[in-house]
Amino acid sequence: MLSRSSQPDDARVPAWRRYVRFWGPRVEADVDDELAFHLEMRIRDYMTLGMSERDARAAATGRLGNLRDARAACHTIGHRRNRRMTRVQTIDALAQDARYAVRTLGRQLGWTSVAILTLALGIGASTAVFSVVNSLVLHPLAYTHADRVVTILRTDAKSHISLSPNSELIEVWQRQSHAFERIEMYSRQDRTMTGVGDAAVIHTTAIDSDFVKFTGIPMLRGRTFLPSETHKPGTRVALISEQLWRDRFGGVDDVIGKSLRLDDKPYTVVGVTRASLQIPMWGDSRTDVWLPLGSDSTYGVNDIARLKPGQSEAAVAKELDSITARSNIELGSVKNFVAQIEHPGDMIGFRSSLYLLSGAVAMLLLVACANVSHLLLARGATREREIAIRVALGAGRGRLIRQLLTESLMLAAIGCVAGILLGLGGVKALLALRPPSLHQLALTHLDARALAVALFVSLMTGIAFGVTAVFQALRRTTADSLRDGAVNGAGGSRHHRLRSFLVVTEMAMSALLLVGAALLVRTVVKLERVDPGFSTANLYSMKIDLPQSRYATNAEITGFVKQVLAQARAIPGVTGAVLAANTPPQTGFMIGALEAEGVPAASGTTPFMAVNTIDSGYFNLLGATLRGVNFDAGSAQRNEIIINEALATKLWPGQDALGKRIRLKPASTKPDGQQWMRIIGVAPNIAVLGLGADHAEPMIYYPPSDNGWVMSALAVRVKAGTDPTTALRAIVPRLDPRLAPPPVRTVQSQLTETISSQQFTMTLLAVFASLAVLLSAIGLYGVISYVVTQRRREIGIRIALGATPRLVARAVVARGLLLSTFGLALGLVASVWATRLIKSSLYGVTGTDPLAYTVAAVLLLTISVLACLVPMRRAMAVDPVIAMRGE
Amino acid sequence: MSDPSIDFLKGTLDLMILKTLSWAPTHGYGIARWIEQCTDDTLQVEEGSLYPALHRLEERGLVAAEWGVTEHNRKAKFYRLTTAGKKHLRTSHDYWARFAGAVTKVLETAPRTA
Repeated sequence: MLSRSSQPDDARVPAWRRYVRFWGPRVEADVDDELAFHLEMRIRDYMTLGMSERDARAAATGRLGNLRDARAACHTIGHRRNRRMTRVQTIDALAQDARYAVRTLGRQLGWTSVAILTLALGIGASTAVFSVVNSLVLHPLAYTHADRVVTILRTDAKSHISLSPNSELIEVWQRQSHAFERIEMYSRQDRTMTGVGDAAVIHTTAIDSDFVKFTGIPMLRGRTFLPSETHKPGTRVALISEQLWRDRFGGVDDVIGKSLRLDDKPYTVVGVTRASLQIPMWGDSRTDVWLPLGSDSTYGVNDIARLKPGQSEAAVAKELDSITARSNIELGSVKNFVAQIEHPGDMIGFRSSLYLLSGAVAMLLLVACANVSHLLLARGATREREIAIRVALGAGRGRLIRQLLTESLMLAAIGCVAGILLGLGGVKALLALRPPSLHQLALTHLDARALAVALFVSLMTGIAFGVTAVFQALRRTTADSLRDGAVNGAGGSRHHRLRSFLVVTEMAMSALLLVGAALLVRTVVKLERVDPGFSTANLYSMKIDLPQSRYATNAEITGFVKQVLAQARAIPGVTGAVLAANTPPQTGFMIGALEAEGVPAASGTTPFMAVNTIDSGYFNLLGATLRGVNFDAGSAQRNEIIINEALATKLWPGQDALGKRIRLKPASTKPDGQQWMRIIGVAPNIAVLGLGADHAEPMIYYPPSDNGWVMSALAVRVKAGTDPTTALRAIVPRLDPRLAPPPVRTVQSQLTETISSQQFTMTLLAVFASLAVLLSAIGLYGVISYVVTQRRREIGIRIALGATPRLVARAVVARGLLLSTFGLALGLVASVWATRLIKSSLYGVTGTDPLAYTVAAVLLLTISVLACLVPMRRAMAVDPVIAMRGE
Repeated sequence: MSDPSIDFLKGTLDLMILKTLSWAPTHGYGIARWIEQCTDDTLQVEEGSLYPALHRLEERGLVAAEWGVTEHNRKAKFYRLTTAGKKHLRTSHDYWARFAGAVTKVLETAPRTA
């Protein structure tokens, strides 16, 4: 039986129901009314048939059956329908907003394109640079758990020179330390590859059988090495890189089982590795062919390890040191080196430049955001009247805000798309501009995370300032705004203050970027002017790498190289050629403590010494004047050496080094038995390390000897206008057809390459600074234009009172300069602090270089004046009569 | 639109509602009364399912509803057939006719003894 209270009856409807109806959906009320009507009609019909009201009601209710269920079913359907309709309505409204936004944005095409371009610039540039930083520094290796992948080095605490531990030590660590999941070893060597296409010198890396598994990067084709194939001399199996597979084997599927020759020995290809399989970056880390470790003679090894989760790096280093101390491995002069855990990204010399560029591009992004805020605020101001009219016509605030927000978001979205496209182009541009030393950059792709951050920042800017603009407009949508020529109220000045603040910020950041760019330009100019210590005009160099298998002894190598030298000298146009172990800007190094006769153990000396072995004609050919005597055929026997000025000054400041004696204690041999060597000549400082800050490093030159460093590099001087490259390269394959033609380059281009990373940084920073300045100028232009428009009447009055156009112009420009000067001052002060962070990227200038600061200031102020010119003209053209009559 | 798997009775009720509304818009009670009158009170509409059925039809867009006033000056919810409803009625009507004919044939045909 149905209770009476559930029967809808107007008299019994509780008062609160009306509120329910008012606020919520009408579903319940509607259903109840409908059912009540039904009952009422049925009762009336029954009563017409002669039933008493009581009986009629009972019969009618009975006929309805289970009323509760029917009601519930109707409620459910009604609610479901309501929800769906709300959804449809929302989507409709959104579509309408979007259409409206597109129309509005389209109507102000100029404004819209500036805003979109600004956003795109900020997003594109920052994403491109962050992508590079990400792929080079933050995630250089695509290994699994890459955050725990480290390289263990041993470092001299005093000189900060780091070396790779030897394989004996690594094995001891692997056995005794519990901090690592695994320590892997690898060994790098260049070899001559023949048998597939032209002979070429390629990079090989020897690895253990579980190295590929360690990286977690699956093979592209075939398999990795078997445990039975490593540490077994004479195993002739190889893995090839994806690149080599495509370049040399045409990417064919049946590459497995094919063979190639390395240094004249046949190897069978058993697998192809993916492009992402790389080793940490020590200079050039590309690998063309992977070989089994220990199958051939192995040069020095490097290590790469994965820490167990939660290991403290300092504690691990300490543990390794104590293991090292307990072991009785002979470590010679590097005994006191300490273990150091490095992340692969830390090993990039270019890192500081990348951080610098990241900072710069972040500032550019902020300037771009500030500028978009400007544009949105400026537009909010111009649309005050439109908004006021729409409010007056009854537009709801919520709807209005939502609609204006849609516009901001639409703008941001288009800007984001443009930004992504620009970012893709930016990464390509970075790759094209990259210094040759950064091969790894080739693997850079647009990073999704970097993109996400940039998009987020710009979207937030769009929303935040879009909303600010709307609220400012709404606050003033009283009748005021509708009245012609309404004078700015408090809201207007607040608005203006916000925009002035934005301009000052932009100017400050631009000043900072300009100072940075100016400092780097100065650095690069200074580096380019570094005296290399010799004449680079028409000087070429060629380095000859001979396979160990056929050229095992110094005598064999020297025999071959001497033939090359003779043929090189016979090339028409060649005026001279000479042999050396290395030609600048390359050098050999020797590890060991230097001992000078009569000088107490020099505390500052590094156990690391640049050395070269040279023929007697070396200095003559390079055009460097030697003090003292040159080497002759008997120099090696008489233990004679030549040192450079830097070493002479360091060991015997204020004295003549000629005739003094020194000796080196190399790391690997016992100190006893080292001969004292007599200094017979002092050479000028030749930039063997390139044009960097270390172009005048201490250095020792050795005469050629049978057991010393073998001379396999050629320096060749030619007549002006002659290019001997082709003729020089042809010599080696002509003498030994199984060898690849060696690389020949001008010494000047190699020297320039040593400062290419600074040039790269400088170029990018200059581009970023210019963009920032341009954006700030647009911002300043916007603010000053706004001021001029707002003060038309005031200007008119002044002109009417006798102010000359010149005075008016001065007032406008002064207003602009006030803002930019304020920003500039802030920026310069910030620069004094910020340039300290980039000290390592500078050469020859200090962080407070007055010239750089002056250039930045003059440039910024000039641009500011230019930005004020158009609004100034407009102010001067104000007709007092029209201006005062009202707009 | 015609779904042969639809519950037989519900389908029948829907069809009768749509047919009723095809004559003229009316309220739920009107629909119930019309069906009763047409069938000389032999088919009493189960009123408990009439309203959920109506609301479902409204949800599907086959009928539209709005509040109006009856000839007795009483507020009531009036239903009318939408275009989609008319189309649905046509197809359901055909389907029903074929279905009823087939059932009738089965019921009226006696087996022929060989």
